[in-house]
Amino acid sequence: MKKKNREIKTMINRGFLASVGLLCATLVNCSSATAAEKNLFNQLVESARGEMAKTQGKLSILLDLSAKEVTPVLRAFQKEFSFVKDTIYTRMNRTEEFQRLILESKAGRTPEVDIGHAQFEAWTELRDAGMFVKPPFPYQQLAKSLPPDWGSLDSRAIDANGYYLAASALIRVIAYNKNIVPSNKVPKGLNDCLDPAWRGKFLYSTRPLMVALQHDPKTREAQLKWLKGLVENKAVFAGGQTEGLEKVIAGEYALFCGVNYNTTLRLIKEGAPLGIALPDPYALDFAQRIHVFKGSKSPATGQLYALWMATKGQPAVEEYMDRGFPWNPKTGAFQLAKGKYVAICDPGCAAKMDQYLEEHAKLLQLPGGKK
Amino acid sequence: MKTELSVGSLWPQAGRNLGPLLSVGFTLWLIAVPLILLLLFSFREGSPWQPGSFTLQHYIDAYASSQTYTMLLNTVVLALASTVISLSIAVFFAFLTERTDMPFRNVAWGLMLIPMAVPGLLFGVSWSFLLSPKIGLINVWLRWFLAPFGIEMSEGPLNIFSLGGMVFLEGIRGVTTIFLMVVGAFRAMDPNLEEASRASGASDRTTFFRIFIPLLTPALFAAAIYSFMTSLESLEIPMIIGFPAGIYVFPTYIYLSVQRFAPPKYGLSAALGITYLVVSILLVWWYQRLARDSSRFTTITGKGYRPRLIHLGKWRYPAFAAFLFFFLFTIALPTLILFWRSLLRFYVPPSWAALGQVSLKQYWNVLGEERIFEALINTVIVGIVTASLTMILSLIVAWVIVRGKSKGRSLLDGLTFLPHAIPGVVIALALIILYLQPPLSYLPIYGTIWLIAIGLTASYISFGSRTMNGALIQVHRELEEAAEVSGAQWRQILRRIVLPLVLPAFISGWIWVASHSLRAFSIPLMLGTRNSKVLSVIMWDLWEQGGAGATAALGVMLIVALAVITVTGRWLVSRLSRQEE
Repeated sequence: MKKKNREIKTMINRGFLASVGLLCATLVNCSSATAAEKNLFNQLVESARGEMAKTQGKLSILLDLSAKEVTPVLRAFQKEFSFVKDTIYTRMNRTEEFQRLILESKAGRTPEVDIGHAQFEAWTELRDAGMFVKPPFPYQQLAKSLPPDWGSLDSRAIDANGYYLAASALIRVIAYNKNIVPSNKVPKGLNDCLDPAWRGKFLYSTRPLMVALQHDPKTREAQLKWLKGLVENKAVFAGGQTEGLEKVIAGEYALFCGVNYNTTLRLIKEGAPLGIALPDPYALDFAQRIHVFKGSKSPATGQLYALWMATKGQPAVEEYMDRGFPWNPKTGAFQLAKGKYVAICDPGCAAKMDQYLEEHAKLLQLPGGKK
Repeated sequence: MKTELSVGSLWPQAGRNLGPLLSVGFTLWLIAVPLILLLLFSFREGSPWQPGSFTLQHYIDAYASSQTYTMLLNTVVLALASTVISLSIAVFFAFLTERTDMPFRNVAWGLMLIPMAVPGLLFGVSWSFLLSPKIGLINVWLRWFLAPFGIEMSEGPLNIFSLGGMVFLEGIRGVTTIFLMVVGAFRAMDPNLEEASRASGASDRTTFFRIFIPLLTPALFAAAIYSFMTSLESLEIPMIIGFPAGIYVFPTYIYLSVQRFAPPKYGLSAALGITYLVVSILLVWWYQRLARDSSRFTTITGKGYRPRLIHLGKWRYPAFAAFLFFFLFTIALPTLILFWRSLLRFYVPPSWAALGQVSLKQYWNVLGEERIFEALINTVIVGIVTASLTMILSLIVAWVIVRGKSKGRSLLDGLTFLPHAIPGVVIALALIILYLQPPLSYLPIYGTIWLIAIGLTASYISFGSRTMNGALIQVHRELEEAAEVSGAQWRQILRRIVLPLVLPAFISGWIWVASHSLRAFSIPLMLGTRNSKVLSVIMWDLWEQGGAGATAALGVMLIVALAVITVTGRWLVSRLSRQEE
């Protein structure tokens, strides 16, 4: 009996020792993994430094923003990483220009761009033409290795296939002329655009800016109904956003439904008599989806810029572009967005973009919408 | 007869006629490449860079839709009605300036050219400030005027955002082009025919309809067909005025199906583009039938000519007043509203109270714009090179067409008209594809302003060749025959005989092409790179990011600069004409 008890004791001791050993081994493994992930960020910085040494500190960036908006943000990035000596900025925001880029690539001319944003209408074509390459470090793992003062990376902004990182947010609002719209008629939700009082007196951009509401299963049905309602309430189509807002400011139209928050805010800051209403639910697009372009000479530096812009650079993004993520309490849109449901055009939505665009054109009876 | 032989049978004398042959070859090449691409796109799946299998689906999609026919109807109404407006006004003013003793004719001539200085974007924008139902200045004035009569309205009575508004704008916008195309014909009329008519007892009215109009037939038809095709393919007014109202025409359909609603439908767009080609071919064929016996319209002979002026008597000043009214209403007023807009951050209708908001800030913003001066230099170079290349090619090609005897000249004549029916985007795409492939990729042209100039030349060769055809038809070949008999080479004949005789038309055409090149948008946008941006692209950028104020400021500067260029050009033409006389 005693012998049996001793054997049991020995087994328990061995089991205990084994468990402790396993636990220790696991802990050691964990700590080494954390170190590796921390190293990943450092590796990215070192790779970027190496690239910049080879290219005389030049980084070529393509975005759809004006130079006025981008320059201060780029300067802030260069201040953080002084080895980036010179940023060459190209603005590209028209489909024709992206089409030319594809043709050049097909002819063997590498785009003179390291990283860049791709217009959502042209994104599928660019992807299919092989314009983008995977960045050297996976964003999912980089997210875990960020320095504490960089904040956290929103996982929804990371492409599931690992190609891009979205660095800013575009939210769509209703802008109204405060001199025309009486206080009891101030719009609160998208359905207010369908009020017969505004029949033929409100604008809607034919660029499908609220595609997130078509994508989100919770908002999809209501959004499709709303799009049909736009036609019935005789929405006036606007080509460009600033152009449309100018008409609202001048008093030709009362509302602009589904316009960019940042564009409206910029005009308000300049003294325009506009008001902003953020509907519930509201649509958000991840903007500045930054890809590494084929033939990039500085992919790691580009990736570092994207990572910085999506995290530590957010105050600059908010200050100069008004495009910060609305769930960040430091953004201007935070108070407007608080407690409201957000439909996001995430990478899954981006992948189905062509389908949504087709649907949008068809519902609005626009030319080009398939019957 | 010898002249006919030398330019008519080019191939047997290829060495001697190398210049015209190369010019014709280059022109054909400029035209054929986009044409072939357009045809291919219309029958292929996929995109231009990833073409798929052959298909007829694009034609089925295009023509099985009822929407297409509504748009077709809108397009035909727009093109026909605006052509009638442009042609009526232009012919009337051409007659007044060239054939009557209306006072200040030189001033009137100069004023007629100024509309060319207004880019389509600004023209549409400025008229929207004048005729928007609610805030449009003319509507505000009309409501104020009608209110004492008990007619109270919250908006209107006019609405520019309608098919009628589009017709009105296209109509008045086309006047200058038509004026330039027909004015040479008025100037070059043989006075003997009119005198013979009057000597036979015909009234002025009879002389006008039985002598004037038949003599003008080739020029009028060329101008009418050109105007019709221009209205068919015009994009800016339909986009700015028609699009908000949901009124679509073919150009908006084509543009939107490629640019706005992804996935871009290149095939559909090309299939619709082919419709233009078919319409163009039919119109050119019709025109050629009408102008088959071009010698009937010859009025400049070796005998000397000087058209006699018609005395308007008491109608002299009312005639000038009509001219002035047209200028003030269609050009000065929109330009002034644009100037007013350029002084404000946000638009408010002109009033004493609004004067407090006026500043020159928008001008400083524009002048502070990155690369604005580089773009200005690029724009000027593109304008000069395009205009010179287009007009030289047009003169040579027109000479071959009008003087030649070869069977292919009708085909050449038709082909030179076709680029007018090809959207600028397609021309640009064709050039990109071509200049990215060897052997042309070895030339240091891609991505430079030279490629933009080539693209614009391809686009404007229709206008150039129409203008030079019209002018050459009126020059009798006896002068060239005399030179040929004296042993002159084709270069000498062209330079010393033909060019001086058609110089006014040549310079008018040059000014037209230059001013259109300066304001062209889609081709420079596609072909220009970071280092070859031109002002029109920067203007569009400003429009999109800064709104109407900055665009208006740049537009006002551009209009002033172009107005100076065109008026100086006119002064030059009149000096040359005087020397000639």
